[in-house]
Amino acid sequence: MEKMKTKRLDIKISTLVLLLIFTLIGSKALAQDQFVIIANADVPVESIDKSTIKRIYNGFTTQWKNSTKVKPCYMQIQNDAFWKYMGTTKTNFNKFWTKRVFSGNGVSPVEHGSSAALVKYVSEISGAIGILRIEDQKLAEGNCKILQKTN
Amino acid sequence: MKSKVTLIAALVFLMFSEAMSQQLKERVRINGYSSFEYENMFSDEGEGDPNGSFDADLIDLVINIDVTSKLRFSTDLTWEHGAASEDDRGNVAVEYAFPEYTVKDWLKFRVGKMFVPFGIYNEIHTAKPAFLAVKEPLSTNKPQKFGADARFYPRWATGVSILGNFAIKSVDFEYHVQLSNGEQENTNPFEEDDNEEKAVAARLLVMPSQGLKVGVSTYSDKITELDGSGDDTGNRTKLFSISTHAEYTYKNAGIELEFITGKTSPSAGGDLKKSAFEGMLYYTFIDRITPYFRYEFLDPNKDVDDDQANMISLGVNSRVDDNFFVKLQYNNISSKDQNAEFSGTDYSEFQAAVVLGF
Repeated sequence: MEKMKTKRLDIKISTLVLLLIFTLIGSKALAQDQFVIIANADVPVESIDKSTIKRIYNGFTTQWKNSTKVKPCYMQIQNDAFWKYMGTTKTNFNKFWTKRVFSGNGVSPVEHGSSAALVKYVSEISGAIGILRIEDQKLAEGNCKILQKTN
Repeated sequence: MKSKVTLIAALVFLMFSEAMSQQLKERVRINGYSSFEYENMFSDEGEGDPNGSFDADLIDLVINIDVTSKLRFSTDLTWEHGAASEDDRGNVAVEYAFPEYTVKDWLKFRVGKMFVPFGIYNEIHTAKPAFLAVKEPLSTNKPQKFGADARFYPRWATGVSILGNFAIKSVDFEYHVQLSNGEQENTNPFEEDDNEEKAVAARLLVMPSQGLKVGVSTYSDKITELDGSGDDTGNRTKLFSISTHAEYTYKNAGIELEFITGKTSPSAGGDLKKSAFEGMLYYTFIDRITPYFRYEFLDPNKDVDDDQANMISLGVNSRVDDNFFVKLQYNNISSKDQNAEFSGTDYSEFQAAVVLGF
């Protein structure tokens, strides 16, 4: 009888531990799928929609309303969330920009190796806009405008 | 005291140079590409390379300078086939050099030497990292090497362009209209026009989604007809070409299609109509290896029955590292007896390229 009780308790604890692990993994995955759009303080918008972001990162929108040059940048993001949001893949995005740059039709968005470097760039460069992982949002708070959170 | 002043001066200089460097980095962007090729024809007869030659194909520097927030200068400088001017070998050229002024994103102006905005390939024909195959399709881009009398349109033009892009709902549009000296034989068309007529190139691209691009391009010109001693006869040959083209990528798969038809009308009559087609299918495995299949067809003169040529290409493009590619390609060229380039001689060849973009 005592053995049975101990076994049930073990099962309950195991289930709880498993649930905790799944919750942690799930919340981490959710966080990885989210990102924030940040911008330099002088950018004359307070929010931004998906189609404008796509046009900026495709090089079609090159100027803000105050005629400041749009300077898009992004991070070497580990997951596919940003590319799904853009409706493309990293490889196809690179192909698109290779053609655009070599045909004389513009310069590609700047790629940063870390969130800190991206935030530094956006906070210092007039007209800059960047894509940041949501878990690194705190780095941008106070230094940059937060234009959009998304998933 | 002296050492303190020196130290302060050095610090001020360092701060200043860092700011200058950052500003320069923001305003000047240098990209480029290089290509090394190998080609070997399998048989003794044919227009391919029977010796198996290496080719230091090209190195290009692409420089963009943001002069102001509205003014960009862009240029592509190329050194082809191991350029060595002392020995009169290879080729050095300005592919394009123009300032571009942006009034709005839907209204930009360019002046200078530019690629003619026509079809899928003309603006990237030297940029080997920008496409899968070893070379751009001959039938649509170098038809004179496929049995045609001349090209459908010239590679470059000097003149003025109006271009821009706009969106209607979720569909993006991009247009480009170019007015130029056009093509000519007896003077440098990038310096001086040999007649009063101007060439007009126009292209409209429609992008209903991120992976789909559909376009129409046209080119028209009036070319000076010369007499035996190279003087202007006062007569003109009209040239008109039109192309429809489409590119579609979905996840790892892609397809591209281009069809061109052109008409040359000499003043003495006797119009020459020609047409060309190229189509390509590809699929990328593990984000690196892309096998492709391409079919090209050219009818150099629609009034002549036995002059068509076609090429089937099978290849693999391997992305070894970011923007570093190795390409291997097999071509089979077949033609009919009246084809001016191949005269009905069928042959196969192997091509390879090592390509870097930066």
